[in-house]
Amino acid sequence: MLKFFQSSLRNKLLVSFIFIGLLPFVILLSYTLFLSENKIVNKSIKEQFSRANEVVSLIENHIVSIQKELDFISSLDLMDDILADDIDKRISILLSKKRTDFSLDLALFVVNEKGVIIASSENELLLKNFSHFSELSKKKVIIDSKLYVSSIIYASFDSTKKLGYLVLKYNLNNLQVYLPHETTMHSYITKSDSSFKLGSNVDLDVILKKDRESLITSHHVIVYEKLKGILKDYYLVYAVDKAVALKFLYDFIAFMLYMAIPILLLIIYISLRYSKNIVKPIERLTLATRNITKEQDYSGVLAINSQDEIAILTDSFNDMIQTTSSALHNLEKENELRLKRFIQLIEVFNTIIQTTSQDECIDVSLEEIKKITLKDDLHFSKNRVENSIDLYVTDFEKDEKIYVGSISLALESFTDENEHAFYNSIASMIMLQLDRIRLISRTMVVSKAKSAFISNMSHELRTPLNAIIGFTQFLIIYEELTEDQQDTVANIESSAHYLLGMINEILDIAKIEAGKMEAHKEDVNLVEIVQSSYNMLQPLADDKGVEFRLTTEAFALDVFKTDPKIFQQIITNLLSNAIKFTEIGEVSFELSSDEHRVYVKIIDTGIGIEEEDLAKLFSDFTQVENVMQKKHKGTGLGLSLSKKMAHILGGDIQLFSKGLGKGSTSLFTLERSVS
Amino acid sequence: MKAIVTYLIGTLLSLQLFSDEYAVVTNNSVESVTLGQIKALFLKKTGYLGNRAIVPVNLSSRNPIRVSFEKRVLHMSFNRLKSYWTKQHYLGHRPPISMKSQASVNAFIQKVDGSIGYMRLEKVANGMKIVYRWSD
Repeated sequence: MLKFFQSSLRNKLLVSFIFIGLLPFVILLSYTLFLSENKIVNKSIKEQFSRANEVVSLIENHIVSIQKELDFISSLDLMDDILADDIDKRISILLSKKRTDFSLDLALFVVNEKGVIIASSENELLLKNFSHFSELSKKKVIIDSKLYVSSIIYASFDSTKKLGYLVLKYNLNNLQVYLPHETTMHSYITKSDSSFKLGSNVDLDVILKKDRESLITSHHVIVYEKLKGILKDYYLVYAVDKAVALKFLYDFIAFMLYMAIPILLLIIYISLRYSKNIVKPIERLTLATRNITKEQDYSGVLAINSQDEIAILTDSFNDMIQTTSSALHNLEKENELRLKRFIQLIEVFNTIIQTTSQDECIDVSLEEIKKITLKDDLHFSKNRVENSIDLYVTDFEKDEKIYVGSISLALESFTDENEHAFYNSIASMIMLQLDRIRLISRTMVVSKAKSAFISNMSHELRTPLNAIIGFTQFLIIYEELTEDQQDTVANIESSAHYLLGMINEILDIAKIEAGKMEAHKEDVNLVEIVQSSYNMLQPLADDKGVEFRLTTEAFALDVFKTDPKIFQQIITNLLSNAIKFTEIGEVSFELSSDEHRVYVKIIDTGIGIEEEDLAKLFSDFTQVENVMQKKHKGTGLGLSLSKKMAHILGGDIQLFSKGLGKGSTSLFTLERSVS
Repeated sequence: MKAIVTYLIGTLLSLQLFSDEYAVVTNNSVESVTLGQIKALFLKKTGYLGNRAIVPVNLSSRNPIRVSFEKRVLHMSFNRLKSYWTKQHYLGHRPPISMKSQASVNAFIQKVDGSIGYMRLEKVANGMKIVYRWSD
């Protein structure tokens, strides 16, 4: 449940909307249900009280007005006729008229000082004694539910002269007109001792104790109030059917309850709609951000059709995207620029590396730096200057730095550390190249010297060796030597031959290293060449008891352009190596070709070689010696020489072996396109 | 109406036949009144004779006896009296009370002390005093 709120702004809004919408409704409903009955009853009571009050004062006014009317009539001059016993009936006529004016159930009459009715609106009362004469001292008196209102009559000519009384006999039933009668509302006037009752006959069982009070019985809301003045012993009672008084309330509650469901639905509908509307832009925003992160497209702009905070958020978001986009754009540009710089730098290095002399290197470097930095005032000088890049080269023999010169930058000082580092790195590069140039030239010189030395040496060694060989051969032919002596001489001869072979090989290497060996290519039949090599080495294999086979079926070329001497030398070298290192088994020798290359493959079952030693075989003759010479004869220069010669022919030699004692395979390949 | 007219004419004729004499009478309590005093009392120029309050009683205005009384005793025409009482009204004075019939006047004068009125001579009863006589 908690998650329901936490996970969604929309749910939060929804719930708060529903809550806000329902709260007043629920409060109103509970107010009407629990509190308003009392209030409405009170209000009804109040209303009834005010109505009752009004009626009470109406009745009071009514009585007072009757009194006033009487007082007025009694003050008329006409009343002097009492003195003449109303012989002319002027008073009686007046009273009759007045009674008609009142149009109520009442009688008017004049009583003289002796208690005789001498004038009356009712003829039957005339000249009778008024039975309640003694009560007339009171202005108002109620006798037998009849109200007698009297006014003393004085002579108009003498205000001290009392002529009698003007009396109005008022039937209290007249008050009926002040009692409203409706089907749902009951009112009556009564006495506390119930001796008098006027009005509705609904039996309410009201006990009249106070001047005014409100009562609520099971069916009625009742108020009663004491009348005023002469009627002070009488009560006005109002009763309203409870159902009527509370009808509005009951109707309202029913209405509220009936409306509860539609209102609830309406609130939920509105809440759903508004929360959706509010959250919609946010969802769109989220979707947009998701799209942006997914597609890395910062160019889009969100359009939100509202004026609220979300619109501000969207604006900010758009701003952010634009800023990010432009920042990314700038970054890309910068990156490109940097890459360009980097490539330039590498190009500079490349250009510098390709220089072959110190001056060229420095000149080219200056040119390149100028190109990069767009500065024209770069100079090289042999002397130190301020704010310059100092260049040194290494003296390899003494292992120390020699000052070469400086590249002046025409700068006050280095403001940027990076710039300084940049120039320093270029300087390092230049110095490296300078060192390299120096080293290469020095090495070349040394190498040339070595080759020349070896060449010269070999030539010098060959001459005495030829003499030795010549003389030993002479001694072998010379028949007077003993067998032991002949053996010794034969040893000398073979050793000399071995030495000569070695010297020749060294000479060849020296020649190649000096670049003096050149391939004299011509169209040759390779099958013939390999066949002759095979024939030449066949006896060697036979001597060792090793099977030696040649296959040329896979070779389809009639002629091939190459140097036959070098080619044969390579093959002979490889074959003699194979036979030399094979004690038991076979050496198979295959010539083949395809569209691009010619292959000579020699497979033996000899001693083989460790994989880690394979690389050493071709590299340096002294090492080969160390590895191989211990057991086997040979200069060890054979492979190295063969490879170099293969290179001269535009080919290559590769050697494979699965390990010591597992035989080896040498593959000589020649490019056909080269031939 | 017709009956009343016939009655009035009849009465007048009968009065003509017997006597045309009238009398100003007072309650016994009043001693003697001069003509000037009668005039002053009925015009409410005075209300007292000596220490006694006097109540003048008129007959109703169209009564022929009253007309004769005003002509012969007060010596004032109807119009003059009307304008006199109009003036007096504004001064707070009211004309004397009036009775409808001679019978009423009779009863009144006999009952009320200090009362003064007028009637046909033959109507004058015991217990009242004739203070002035006149005839047409």
